[in-house]
Amino acid sequence: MARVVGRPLVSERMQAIRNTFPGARSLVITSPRDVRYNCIAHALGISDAVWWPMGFGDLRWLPGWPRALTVDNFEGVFVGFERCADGTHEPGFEKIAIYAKSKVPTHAARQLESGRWTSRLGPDEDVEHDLADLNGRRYGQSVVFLRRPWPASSPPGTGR
Amino acid sequence: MSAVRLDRRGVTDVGADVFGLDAEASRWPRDLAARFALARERVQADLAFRSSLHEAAALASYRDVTALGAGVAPLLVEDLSNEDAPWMLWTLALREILKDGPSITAEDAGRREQVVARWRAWWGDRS
Repeated sequence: MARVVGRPLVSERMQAIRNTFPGARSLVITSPRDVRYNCIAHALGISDAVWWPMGFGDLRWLPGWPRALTVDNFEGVFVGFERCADGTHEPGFEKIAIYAKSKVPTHAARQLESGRWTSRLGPDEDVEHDLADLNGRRYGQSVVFLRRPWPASSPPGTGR
Repeated sequence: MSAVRLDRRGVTDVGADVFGLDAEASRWPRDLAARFALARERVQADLAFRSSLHEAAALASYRDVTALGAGVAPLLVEDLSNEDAPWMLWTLALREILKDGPSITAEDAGRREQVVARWRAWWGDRS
């Protein structure tokens, strides 16, 4: 059963999330809707910009990096990370999961030190979740995993 | 008059039965602002929890907005200032419709406040 936190309408939002992600079992809302950032930014540790490879320059992407909608391109945005086998919690490493449907990237999540994952659901809430909570029709499956040693102080993406 | 007909949603189509209008047309507001408001509501619903903006831009609700043509551009620019507006889709729609738009610096790219300010300034200079 998902836990519910905070604001009066959270239970309604949780129901909407459950309707979209029927496989979610342990998902918790951790911050409210905010259109100023999205899942890629959140995975990079950024909360003031929308990252997506479209928009004729209105949206942010890694400077000089191809804007093709491929998993390889998404992987390259996470500078300093390397591919790893899966999303298993490895103490000392921070991980990124890239979700895709039919090899087309749809979403990214970041692993917390606890081993749980954090995601921004489109322009909506941030949630803490297990990896499988978001598997399904909306995001497909987590298909590529990246890791890097936990930085001494800064979250991924800092300084970009 | 014939018996009351029900449309696909099971709603009585008064426009079609009483006034002889095409059923689909009678549900679609004639006023551009009302049509935009309806399309915007659908875009917001379709965008919920959706991370892929490519997916969102391929949906019928977004296509309904761009299909409104150049007349919807001022409404899109105005709506950019609303905090809950899907600004990342509206700037895309504006570029599709107008085949033009402001230059956004790499530093400003993706930042809502800066991008919206650039679009509003550009629109003001253009008008």
